[in-house]
Amino acid sequence: MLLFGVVLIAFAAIAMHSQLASRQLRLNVLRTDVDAAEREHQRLRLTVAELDTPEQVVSSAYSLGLVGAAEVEFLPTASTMEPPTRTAGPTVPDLAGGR
Amino acid sequence: MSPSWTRPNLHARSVAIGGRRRRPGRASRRPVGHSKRPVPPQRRNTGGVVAVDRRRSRRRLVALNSFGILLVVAMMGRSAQLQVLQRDTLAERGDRQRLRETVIRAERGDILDRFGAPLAMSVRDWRLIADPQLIANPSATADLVLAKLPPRTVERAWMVDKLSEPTRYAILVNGIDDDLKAKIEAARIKGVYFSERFRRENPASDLARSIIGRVDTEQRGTSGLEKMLENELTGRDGELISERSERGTQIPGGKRTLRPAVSGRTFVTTIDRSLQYAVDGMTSKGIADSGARGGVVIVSDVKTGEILALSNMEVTSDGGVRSTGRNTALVSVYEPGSVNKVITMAAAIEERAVTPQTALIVPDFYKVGDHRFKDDVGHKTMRWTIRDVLVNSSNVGTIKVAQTLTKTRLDRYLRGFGLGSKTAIDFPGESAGIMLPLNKWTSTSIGTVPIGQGISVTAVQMLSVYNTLANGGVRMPMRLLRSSVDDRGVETPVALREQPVTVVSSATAATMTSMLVDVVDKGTGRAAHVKGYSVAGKTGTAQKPNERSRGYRAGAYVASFAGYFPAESPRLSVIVVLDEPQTSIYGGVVAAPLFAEVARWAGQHYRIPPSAGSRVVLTPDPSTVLSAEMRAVARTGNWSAATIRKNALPAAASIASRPASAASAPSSTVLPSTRREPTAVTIAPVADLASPSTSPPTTAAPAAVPVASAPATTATPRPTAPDLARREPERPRATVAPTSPPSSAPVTAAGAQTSGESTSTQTNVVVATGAAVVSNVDAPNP
Repeated sequence: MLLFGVVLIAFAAIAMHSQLASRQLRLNVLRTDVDAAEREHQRLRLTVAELDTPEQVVSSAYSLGLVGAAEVEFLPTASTMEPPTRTAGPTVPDLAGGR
Repeated sequence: MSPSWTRPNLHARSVAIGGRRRRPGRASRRPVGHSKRPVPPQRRNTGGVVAVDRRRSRRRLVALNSFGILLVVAMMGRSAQLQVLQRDTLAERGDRQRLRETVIRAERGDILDRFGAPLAMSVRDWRLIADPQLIANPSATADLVLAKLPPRTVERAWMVDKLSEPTRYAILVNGIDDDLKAKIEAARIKGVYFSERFRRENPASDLARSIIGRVDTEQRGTSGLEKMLENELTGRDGELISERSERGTQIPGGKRTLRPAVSGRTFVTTIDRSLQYAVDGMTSKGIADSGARGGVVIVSDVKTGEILALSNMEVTSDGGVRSTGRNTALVSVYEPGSVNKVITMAAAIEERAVTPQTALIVPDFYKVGDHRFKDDVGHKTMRWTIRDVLVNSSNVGTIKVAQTLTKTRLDRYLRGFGLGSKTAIDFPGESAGIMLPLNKWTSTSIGTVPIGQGISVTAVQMLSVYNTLANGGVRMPMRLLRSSVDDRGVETPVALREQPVTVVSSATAATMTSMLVDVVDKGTGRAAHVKGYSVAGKTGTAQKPNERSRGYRAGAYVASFAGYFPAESPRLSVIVVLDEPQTSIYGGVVAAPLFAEVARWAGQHYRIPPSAGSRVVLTPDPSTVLSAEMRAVARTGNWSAATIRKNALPAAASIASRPASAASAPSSTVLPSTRREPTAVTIAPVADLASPSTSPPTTAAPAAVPVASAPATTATPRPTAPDLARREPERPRATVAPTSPPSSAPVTAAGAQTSGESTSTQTNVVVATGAAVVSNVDAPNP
């Protein structure tokens, strides 16, 4: 009985260790994947930033046939005629997801 | 004698046990007769042999036990030596074999524009490296590597050379992505490895390059904000210590210590990317149109001192116009000329030495010390008020005003407005300008300094002067940074380096504004008029000093215009400085129109309401469209909120903003029915600079005159590793430098970090004092 118990404990220890090793390997793979995903995220972020530049936007607009207006007129409204009031100051840009 | 004594000793072998062993089959050298202990005959019986064997066995046992004990003692001693005496050393050696330290590089912080768009950012990728000492056949290895790389990435000969170098570290290719890395790794090429690296990218190419600056190949800032914020942007590297197997894989359940990297702080600048792009385009057009060597245009928020756009442009050797690497607006100085007269006037009014209505007798020349100063346009001796003096930009009148001030008070105000000291930006290589100490003023200094000659300023300093007047006499410190964000996303406003300073009273500032409005309305700055806005500003045309001798260079001028708008409630200020314009030397001719263009675009971009009052008029026939009240408005040009509320909707389609002078004559150009061009209508709410239109108005069209492309140049003295991340698809990379995209700076084969741009630590100092002839002129509007 004692021998059986010892063998059982030994098998349990081996099984646990192999499980640990397996999880560790899985963890390593996941870490590598996360690393690769971060690199990909940075690359895509750069691509978005490049596509979003004024130069790119203007170029795309022209290629789509848009042109600059020859004349721009300001139409007075009630708000424009009141004394200019400043708001609390420039708002902080939303940086969530900016990095 | 018994014959048995002569027989050989049959037990010689046994006797020898424990003693010296004799070789079998070889007789003892010792004669038997000389044996020390002859064996007695009676011992040769059986019982005697057993007794002898027992004794021998006991001896053997004792010897064996002794040996065993010694062995155990030795083992224990050795064990004690290993586990007690050498414990630490051996444990350390074991750790060294299993534990691997991996440095986790900290990501360099981004530099963003005021709305969070990245101007500079870091991207991770791989670098292909080699250990040439492990490569037996460089040619074969090069072929293996090249087979995996995209075609024409590098030349074969170049790679063979790199693989043959007597070094242990050779960089083969930069900018490799994960897919390509996997392909190369699968080939298992001996001596070829990868290392991870960060590369710095400017998504908007050359946009604001002179402000952002550059980093070197080690990601250290070498110029601009990259250098100025080096410590904050860099962050702190992390470290991973883990137990690894021989193959490098982590041992399950082994030790693992992680000290995470701390990314550098991200900085939010005051720059507006859209405005910067538009201003760059307009500046390059202005330079091209005027034939200038280069130019600077800055737009700032008068209330906060924030620089919204800063364009430094120069003409390249091939005749194109491109953004400079150095921030000329901050590191280079020039003699400001007549734009400096506002300081003289403001000081005199503040000190109550004069009022705008004070009349002066103004001839067209005037002698100060041993020099003769003259107005640019000859005129009879006039009786001009102070306002007229400024409107006509009279040198003689300004000098007379300065003489009422005395040099001490003039110097105090010049320095009070910020001349002679660096701005609060503290940009790398920034110049403080050049102001002579009072004790070095010559007899003619009271003639030169008031009209902006004999002193040197940076463009930002001069813009700060106009900001002060626009801001009610309070000088706000100029700023390029708004806030910083740490790696947890916590944003902290960047503290002001200086406190606001009241230089002149608000009454003086208002008086100066009204005088500057007259300069634009009816003086030398009429070309700076912006439809719909009242503009306050001043022209400047100054000679350029000789750099190697006293006096000024013939025919070399700096034309400038500085101003702000809307004059009744200033929001934005703009300065334009053109270096050696050719079509005209006058600021009122070449700089003022560029100011107007920039101001018009910026006002529209930030949706700044047009000026109320006489500048907003009706264009169609009021009698057919409008109520009696609106007709009155049309006649007088005076709006009231009640009038607008009552009539805005029906009148909206027929209202245009136009100068008051044109009020009585309805303009056909603003009637939609008679115009062929499409018209963009912008409703102008009261807006804050932080929330401009989300997309730039299409009227900007700066791309119509794009910044000229930089020529593709080979700036590297020796070939460096190509960068796939910056690669043009069909160009060999090893020995031919890549062409940069249009409007970008020349870059080397290794990327922008190694471009030949000079760091911004130099300062152009060009100033002349005590010039023989000073002709500081402003032309009337053509």
